[in-house]
Amino acid sequence: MTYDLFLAWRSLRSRPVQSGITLLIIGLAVALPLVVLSLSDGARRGIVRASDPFGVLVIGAKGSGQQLVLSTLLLQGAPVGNIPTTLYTELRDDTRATLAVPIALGDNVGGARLVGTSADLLELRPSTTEPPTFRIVQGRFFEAAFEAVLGSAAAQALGLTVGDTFLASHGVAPGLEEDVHDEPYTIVGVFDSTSSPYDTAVFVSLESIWHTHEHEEDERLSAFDYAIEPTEPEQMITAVLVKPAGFIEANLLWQSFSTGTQAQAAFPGQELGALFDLFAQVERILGAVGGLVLVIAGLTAFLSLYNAIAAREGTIALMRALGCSRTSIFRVVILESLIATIAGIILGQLLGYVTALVIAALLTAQSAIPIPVQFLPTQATLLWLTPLLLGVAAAIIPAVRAYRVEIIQKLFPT
Amino acid sequence: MLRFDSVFLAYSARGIESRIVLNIPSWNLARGTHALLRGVSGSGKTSFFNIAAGLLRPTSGEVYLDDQPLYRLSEAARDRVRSAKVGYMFQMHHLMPGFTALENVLMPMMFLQTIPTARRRARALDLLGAVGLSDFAQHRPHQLSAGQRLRVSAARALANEPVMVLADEPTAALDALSSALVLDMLQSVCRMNYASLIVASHDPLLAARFSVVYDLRDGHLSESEIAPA
Repeated sequence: MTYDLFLAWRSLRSRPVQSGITLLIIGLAVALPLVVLSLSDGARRGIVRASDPFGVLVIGAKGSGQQLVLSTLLLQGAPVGNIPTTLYTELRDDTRATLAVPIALGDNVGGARLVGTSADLLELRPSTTEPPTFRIVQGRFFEAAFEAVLGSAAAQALGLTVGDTFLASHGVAPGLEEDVHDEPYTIVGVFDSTSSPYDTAVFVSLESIWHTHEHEEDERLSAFDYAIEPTEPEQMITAVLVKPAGFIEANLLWQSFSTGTQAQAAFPGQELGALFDLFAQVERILGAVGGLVLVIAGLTAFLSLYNAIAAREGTIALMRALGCSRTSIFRVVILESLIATIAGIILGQLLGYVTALVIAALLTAQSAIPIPVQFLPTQATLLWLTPLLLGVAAAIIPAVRAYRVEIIQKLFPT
Repeated sequence: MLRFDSVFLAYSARGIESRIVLNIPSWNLARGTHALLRGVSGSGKTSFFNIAAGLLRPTSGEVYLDDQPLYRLSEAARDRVRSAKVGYMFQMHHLMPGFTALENVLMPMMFLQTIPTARRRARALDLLGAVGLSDFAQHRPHQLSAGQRLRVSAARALANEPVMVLADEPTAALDALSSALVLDMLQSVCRMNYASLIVASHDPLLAARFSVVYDLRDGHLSESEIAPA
């Protein structure tokens, strides 16, 4: 067996280009599904972890429940719409809820979302036994209008600290100069990390948001408009995070909103589950592509080995003449394929995890949702076994050809 | 030690015998004999060697090596007998391309595995030294001259301490000095191991080195009437 390995290894080394290409293709065939699997797994974990610190029911404007959850909890995409603030006050006083936190989105500072909220935010925690999600590490929570508290990542990204001031802009992303509001905010505190997209946000009071927008509304309405219809703009918010008193209360709340026309209630788990179903579909498609690439890798390994054996028949005949048995020759060819496959798998696994880590880091930077890439034992086993079986299968026909080499025909051609 | 019993070899085309290559009713070579096999090109010397080495099944008849009927053995058993008892120096040197001179000499020892691993390398280096190639152990065949390749081939033929060495035109591509070196080495190692040596050549000057000379003509093997010097 020792010399079988030696011969197989030397044979691979004797054709570095073909062996290198085979190894690379096997590596890519392993890396591709690994990247897909580890990123989708990481995205799932990341989204669950990002929404985990809240443990709430999300109440917001009618529309897509998924969009409501994504925009409110993960700060992804535009909010569904606005709801009257009275809804928040009603929920705050509702016995079915133990906590209601108002969320008003729509402004940003240098790309960091401005989140209008109240001191109720400090009461949020994943469960009753766990510490609060939002903890001040520097300064204090805002107490007056135009005071702001930075999320941990926002403090780093904006390069601001307690005592600094900033101007907010209209919209959830950086916009034009004319969108910048006039009133400056003063930073009074910084939150500890929550491992959620809220780390990238800047928290201000609802009053600050309303004041800014009322002021702008005033500027847009002419004196003539006021003369016809002198109105006071309604105070709106984007969503309310509700901590139900229990499962029954959660269901009752959900039912009351689903039958009403004013707003909707969304369970994050349910909405994210639907999103994960979509992930699974994409995963299946990419899995099929990965399978196809693996088959192509197997065919490449087969062709490379088959050509190598065809070119090496004289050498094989010589080995046979020197006393190497047919079964040893067969074993050497299978081993040759296995060595290339194992090297390809190791390369693929390294390539896969490194690529997944890089993409995850880029996605995290873009979305602020931490995407953990971790070793997947089941998938790793599958991504070892499948190529190994393919490697052996690819070597069988070349090995049979090598097995059948006749010494006299090849060493002493007439 | 090597016995041919009614060995007949004919090449046939479409089932019709077209050419008789060998027709040897009975022939015997005692162990330790150094024989020269002469014959013109195409007289069947290589076929004779291939049959003796268990590589080419004769059309009929049997070959006995140390009383073992080679062609009644399974192919695997015959491979093993050949590996253990026969050292074959091919007319074309037939070295493994991609392997060093040292590895080429180690190869038969790896296949047979009767010589302990620890001893193999030293033995291979000794054999290369004996053919004057100590400094070329790490050279690959394409880095060696034709004569050097032939000498590596000679060292390889002796690797497993065979009881019979077959050398097919070993000096055809060599100058006089190298020829003498190779033949000296083959003969001295065979004497040391009490092994038989059969050298095929059409060089008339070689006859003096051998105790017995055979001529192969029209498929028939006959002992030469020319007395060795």
